[in-house]
Amino acid sequence: MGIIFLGNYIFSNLVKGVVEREMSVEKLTIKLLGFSAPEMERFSAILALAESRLQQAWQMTTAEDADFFLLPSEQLKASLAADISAARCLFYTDDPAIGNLILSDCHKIPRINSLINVLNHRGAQKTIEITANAEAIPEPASPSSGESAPPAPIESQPAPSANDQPADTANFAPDHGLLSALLEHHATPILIKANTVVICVDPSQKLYYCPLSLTQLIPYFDPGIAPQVKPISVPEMQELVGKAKLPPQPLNNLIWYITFKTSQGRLLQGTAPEDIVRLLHWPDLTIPECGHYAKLAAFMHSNTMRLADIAKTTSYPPASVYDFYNACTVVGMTEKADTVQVHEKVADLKQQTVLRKIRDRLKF
Amino acid sequence: MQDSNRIKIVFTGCVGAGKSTAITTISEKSVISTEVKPSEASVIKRKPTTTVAMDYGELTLEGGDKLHLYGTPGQRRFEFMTDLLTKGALGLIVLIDNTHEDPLDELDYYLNLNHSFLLQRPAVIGVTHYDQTIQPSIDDYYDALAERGDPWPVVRADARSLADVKLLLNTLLAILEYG
Ligand SMILES: Nc1nc2c(ncn2[C@@H]2O[C@H](COP(=O)(O)OP(=O)(O)OP(=O)(O)O)[C@@H](O)[C@H]2O)c(=O)[nH]1
Ligand SMILES: [Mg+2]
Repeated sequence: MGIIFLGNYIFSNLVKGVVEREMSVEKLTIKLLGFSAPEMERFSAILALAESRLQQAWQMTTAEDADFFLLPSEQLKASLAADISAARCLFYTDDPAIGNLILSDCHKIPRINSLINVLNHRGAQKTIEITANAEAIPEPASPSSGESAPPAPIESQPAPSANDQPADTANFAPDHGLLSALLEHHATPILIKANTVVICVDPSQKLYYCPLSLTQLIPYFDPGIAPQVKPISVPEMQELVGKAKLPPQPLNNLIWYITFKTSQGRLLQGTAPEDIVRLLHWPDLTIPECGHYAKLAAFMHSNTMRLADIAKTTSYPPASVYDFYNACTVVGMTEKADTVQVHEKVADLKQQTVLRKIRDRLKF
Repeated sequence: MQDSNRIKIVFTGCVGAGKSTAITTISEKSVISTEVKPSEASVIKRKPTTTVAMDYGELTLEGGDKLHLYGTPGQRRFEFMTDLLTKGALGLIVLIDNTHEDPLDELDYYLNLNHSFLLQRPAVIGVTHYDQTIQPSIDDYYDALAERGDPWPVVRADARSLADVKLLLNTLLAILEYG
């Protein structure tokens, strides 16, 4: 599943130059149509996380008007937003063959790098349109007003790669932001303040306390946020979490999830795709998104293999295998090995058909 | 129901863990359950009714096949039902009530009871009532499994939650397919 934007208009250096000179658009608005409240919440979380890397300021809106509209799929456009021009629509799609693809997961959480690419392209384009039309009639903003066909591409460049590898660094290093603060050794309980959120950590019990859920915490995973860390005593911690009636949560789940979300398809520093690895323990499959990796976990738990071959054998995309491997490794659930050990399974076609049917029925 | 060609998955585990509830949560049809007032002292203490014989629910698969879901009775005097119900099953979901006096002992008991089945087929351990107590922790369950040399995954699950019951089943399918 992913997001695409319709039309194939490429952000060129030429456009960028104009945008940098002429920031006439203060905020671009985006309205989500046909999404559930939790899906909107997740999009909003990723948008907040992406904020520092977006060239324009973007804001989600519930007003009737918006600069852009995000729809769950192209099929729904006809019923939900038939009268909005294609140029203003962004979509979730399953089709990996489409260019400008953003990978998103089964919870409709877009991958941050892809979201940044698409919004930066579209935002720049919108800005240049507005700049060019400054003296002309502005583009109608209301979805109900008639609209013209999307403008022609300014420059034909190859579409951004569909593979979600970030351009900045090739490897993932867990040495920034909230993750780094959690991984440091602490002898006493600590309070971590990342932007507006406060997390209380009890390292000896491997627990944390926070009023926000893991998915609500996503915006605070940004490696660019420098968290403040304050040691506190055990009685202080008990008083604090008691007063706030916060339930204890497994610290490893928080560390796992931050690593998983911030790896963005980059393999952990010090690991190569040729490394032979195995999974020593099962991760907590109730962590958001982790349940969808049950097959990968089962496979890595009973086979010791090269990371690159795991992706090929299980048909999970390499980026997903890396995200999963990184998360499990950072919490100490993996081990490297010298030799490959494959657990030969006798292929039972009848059973495989049955399993597929059950899986389809469960719609997992 | 003892026909070993049937596609089936069995829920087992201690009294009050949520076997009947889990099957009710996921089953298409209203569940056939044989609930009576408990007779064993340890059960009377915990719940007003208990399953005797079994629970039964089903899901219709593509092509009309059925996935049959069976729940074993928790009272130990019905232990004999376990062999009958697990015969030919794809795998086992072992539900353990974390508020039980000794949940890890219960885990040991149900894994021993199904020892010969589990030499051939996989299990997933579902820890229920975790919202009521987090002791023993999931890590404690893994330690107990490691001591036995068992590789099964442990999943926190609330038998009343469809998503949780699906996760248990999906994890079992993952092991069957890839484990
Ligand atoms: N708080 C809480 N309650 C739960 C959870 N899972 C199940 N329950 C409740 O616990 C009770 C379980 O009862 P049953 O489903 O009859 O248990 P059983 O395993 O079939 O028990 P026996 O048939 O007696 O062996 C029900 O009242 C459920 O609603 C959970 O995770 N948390
Ligand atoms: Mg029952």
